[in-house]
Parts: sequence; C-alpha cells; structure tokens
Amino acid sequence: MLKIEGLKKIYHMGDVIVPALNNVFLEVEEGEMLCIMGKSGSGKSTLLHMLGLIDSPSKGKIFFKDQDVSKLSESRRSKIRLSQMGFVFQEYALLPELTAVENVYLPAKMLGRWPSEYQDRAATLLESLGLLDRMHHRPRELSGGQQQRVAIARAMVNKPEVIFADEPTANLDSTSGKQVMDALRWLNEQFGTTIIFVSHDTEDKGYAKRIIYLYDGKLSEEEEG
Amino acid sequence: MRTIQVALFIASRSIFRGNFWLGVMTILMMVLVYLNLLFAPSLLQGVIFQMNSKLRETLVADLTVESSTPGELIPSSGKLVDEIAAINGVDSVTQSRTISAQLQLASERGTAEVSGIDVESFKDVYSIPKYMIEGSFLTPGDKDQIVLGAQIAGAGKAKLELYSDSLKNAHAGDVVTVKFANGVTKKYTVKGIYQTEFVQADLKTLISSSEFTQVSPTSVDKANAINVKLKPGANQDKIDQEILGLNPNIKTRSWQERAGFVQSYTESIQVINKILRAVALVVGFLTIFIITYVDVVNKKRQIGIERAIGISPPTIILAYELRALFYTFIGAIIGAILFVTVVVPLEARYPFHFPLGNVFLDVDYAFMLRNVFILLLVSVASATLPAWRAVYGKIVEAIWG
Repeated sequence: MLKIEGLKKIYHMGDVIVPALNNVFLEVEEGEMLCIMGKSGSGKSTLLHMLGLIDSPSKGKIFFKDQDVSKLSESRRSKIRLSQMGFVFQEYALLPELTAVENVYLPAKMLGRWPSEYQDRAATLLESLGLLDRMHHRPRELSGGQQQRVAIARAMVNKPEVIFADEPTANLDSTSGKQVMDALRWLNEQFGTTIIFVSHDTEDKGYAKRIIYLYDGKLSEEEEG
Repeated sequence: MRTIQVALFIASRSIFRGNFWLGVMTILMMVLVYLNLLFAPSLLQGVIFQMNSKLRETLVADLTVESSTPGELIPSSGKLVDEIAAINGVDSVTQSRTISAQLQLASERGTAEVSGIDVESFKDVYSIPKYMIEGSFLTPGDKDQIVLGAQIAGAGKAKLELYSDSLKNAHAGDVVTVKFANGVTKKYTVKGIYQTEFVQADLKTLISSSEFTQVSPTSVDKANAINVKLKPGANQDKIDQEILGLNPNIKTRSWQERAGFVQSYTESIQVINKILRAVALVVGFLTIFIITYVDVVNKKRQIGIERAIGISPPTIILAYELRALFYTFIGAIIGAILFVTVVVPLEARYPFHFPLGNVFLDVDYAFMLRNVFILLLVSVASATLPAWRAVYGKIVEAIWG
C-alpha cells in the first residue's frame, strides 16, 4: 500500500543543516498495524508526516497504492489526505469551536457527502468509541482521552485506507492511553484499516503487528541494544 | 459549492462560538470605521449643499436672464417677467436693475452695487428677507429707504470678512449718503441690515424699484437681470430653452454656470472628501487585517490541522473572508442605523457653524450603500492577505507552531 524509497529529509535551521531522515526504505502492507518507535528527535514524526503527505521529502520517492505521490501538488495531496488517509495528532487537535460530532464530520462535509450520511456515520463512530453522550460537547468539555477518541473518529469518518497517529497517547494517563490504543486496534481489526503510529511508549508497541525503529534518521527492524 | 458550504460552516461556528467579546469589539470597530467613512464626507457634502443653496437662494436663483448684448438692459422686462412666470415649472420670477454707487456714513466710505428690486417678487425668489439682523426688509413703494448687506454696513461686527472695507458701524435708522455712478447723490435711511453669512450676497445693497426709477429714470421697464426660481424637480434645460424662445435678444445662465466662484471651494472640498474617505478605508483595512492577522497567528496550529485533515486552503481562506464580511456587514448596518437615527438628528440639533452658516449632515442613502459595498470589499481583501499567508505555509511548521 505504502512504499518509500531512499527517503531523505533535511531541515535548514539558519545556516545549520539538520538531517532528519537518511536514505530510508520502507514498505507497508494493507491492513498492517505498524508502530514506528524511536527516541525523541530520531525522525519518527518526520517519517510519519512524509508517509501522510503533510510534508515533502528532500530526496527519494513515496508510493501510495503504486502511485508516486512525492511530487504531487498540494491540491492533489490534500485530496488524497481527505479521502484516503486519516490523522490523529499528539495534542488532540480538535477545532475548539466545533462540537465533537461536528469535528468528526467536518472532513466528510468537505468530501461532499450528504448531511444525513455523514451525521449518521459520525454519530455511529462516536457511539462505537463510547462517546455517544459527549457528541454535542465542545472539546474543552471533554477529557484528553475523550478528545483523542473524537480525533480517531474524525480520522475514520471518510473510511480511509490508512490512519497515521503521531504519539496518540503521549499526553494521556495510562487508562486513557489504553482506551485510545484499543480504539485504533479495533479499527484495524474491524475494518482492516492500515494503522501507522509513532510512539516512544513501550506499552504501545504491544498493539502493533510490526515494529520498526528509527535511530538518527535511519531505519532498523531491530531494537537497539 | 462544497468549498463554500464548508467555509460557511467553519465561519459560522467561529463567529457564534468563538470569543464573544472579540466579536463584539470587532463589530464595534467596524461601526466606528463605517461612521468615520460617513461622517466627514457627509459634513463636507453638507457644506457644498449649503454653499450651493445659499448661492441660489440669496444671489443667482436657478436661472439668470440677461441681455445678449453686453452692457445692455433687457427692454420690456415687465412683459418678459410675466411670460417667464407663465412657463410650466417656473416657481417665481423677479427683475432687478443695478447701478454702482459709493456709500458714506460719517467718515467711512464703501462702494457697492445698488439694486432696485420688485420687493414682492424678490421675496418669492430670494430668502434674503429671512436673514434680517437689524430693522426690517423693504416694502413696495418704499422711498428714501435702503437695506444693506452686513458686509457693506459693517454693523459693528469687526469679525466680518470685509469689515475694513465697510461702513463699519452702520445700523438700522442711520442715514447714509449714496453717490450713484450716474451722478445722482441721495440720502437714505437704513431700513434694515441682513446677514446671510454668504459674503457675496451680503455685499448687496437694495432699494425698491420705485425708488430706483427716481434715481435712474431711463431704467423704467428695463432690467439688468431677471432671476428665475424653478419648482422642485422642474426640467431646467427645457425651461431654459423655452425662455430663450421668448426673446431673441436675451441669454440665460444657470446657477451652475454662475457658481464659478464657489467652484474652487467645492473642488477643494471634494479633494478633502476623497482623502478622508481613503484614510477611513485604510483604517478599516488595517482593523480587519490586524484582527485576522492576530487570529491567524493564534490559530496557526489549528489551520495546520485543518489542512492536514484535508480542508483545502481556499476553503480556509474563504472562511476567514466570510467571517470578515459578517463582522463588516453587521458593523456597517449598526453604523448606518446609528448615523441616521442618532448622529444626524444630534448634529441637526447642535449644527456645526461654518462661515456660510449652519451646516447639516447631508444624508445620501446611495452613498451610504456604496460605502457598505466598498467596506465589504476592503474587509475581504484585508482578511485574505493574512489568511493566504497562513494557509500556504508548510503544514508541518503550522502544526509544530
């Protein structure tokens, strides 16, 4: 489903060049639940952003469903993100002026689905994630775990083929973190959605079908000594 | 269509669920911007209106009929006055004869054009009798009586523009000596003094037509000028043509043609008007720009998230534009209501006093509507710039803050 070849990413911080990813090769199969692990600053979030088309590589290619998407225009990438990908970010990242259900159906509205269709789907997703009674609450009225589950429902609303989660449990207590990871696993098992998540929490890797490690921008299938 | 729907959705939620006081303050700013956009231009328009009104009601009326031969008088003027008065759309007509003269009161001297007027018809065409500050206006058949404009009389008003050239302290009841250009010298009792606050009108000196024929016997049934006041909405050009058809030896001049000496004032005021409007629009632009810019900076991460989940940049920009349009529209509507129901009546009660009299705000609804549209356009432009910059940056940088 997803393949990257010789991916490099360099950041320019003033006159200093900082390599974030260095010649990374990776292939992700459909239905996988892949965990990208690594220390802080190892480049795991950068890799996730590249795979999710929200950042461009300095060098190398990204294939999504056999199509080279590394050089697509922002408009085309935006359409792919909207219709075929879902995102869960580290810090909840809900729009504060929308209720939970509105946050969930916003991408579906953007995709042009009928209101009855997307409202029902948003409600069903929230119900499945145990948030039916919170659907008309604003983000500030929800706990961190609840907000993250709303974000998962939002990521799912357009029935994406892959969901990218960037340290989804980083700001949660262990109980909420477990609920979030359970929700992601449920999506993977129930709908066959490919899940790629980044974590540095060793508890999270128990949810993954496959784990890869990033050390200083380089990929490894094995954990460092 | 989808872009518009989503942008409307985001904008409406942002307006009605965002920071309430920020919304109130933004609308209040737009109210002030709109009032600023209306107030000074309306006041200056009021000055122009007052200037033109004074010109017509005290000096030249709507149309002036003169002999086509320079220096000649209009013969059989009485018959011509009657014929003009019969034209459909003509309100009233008056004729006058003028002669230059030197006036003297004690040691003070001044020169003036003395006009012999048909008192009753003069009152119909001009409003000078309403501006008496001393004594009373002429009555038909008045002998040895003269009415002076304040700029000639002086009337003890040292602040008058032409006081130094006036008789300085002439008052009603004083006797002035008038030396006419035809050699006749006569004493007149000042029956009244008027002050229209329009300098050119206040330079007039008036005597009755019967008195004038005593001074200038050759002017009987002749006139230097016939002045015509039209009914409201009358077709000036059509009446002008009809008057010219009455006598081949006359010419006409409209009040607009005779407004040459106020034209330069009018043009200057129009320039000031344009500058003030431009400044008000810049203020409006900057207000919305700053509000949007601050909002965009505060919501940089949120914009990044919106883009990451697939909300297109044009949708996000349109949401900001719609929000700016909403605040501007509401601000302009409230501003317009305040202007019409509070500012204008208040100014009418306590009017600004200009050298040509009290000036009232000139309410022009087409102008108000035009300004609403201009302000809406400006607000869209000012919201677009910061929003554009924010949504076309890197998503990752936006999310990371």
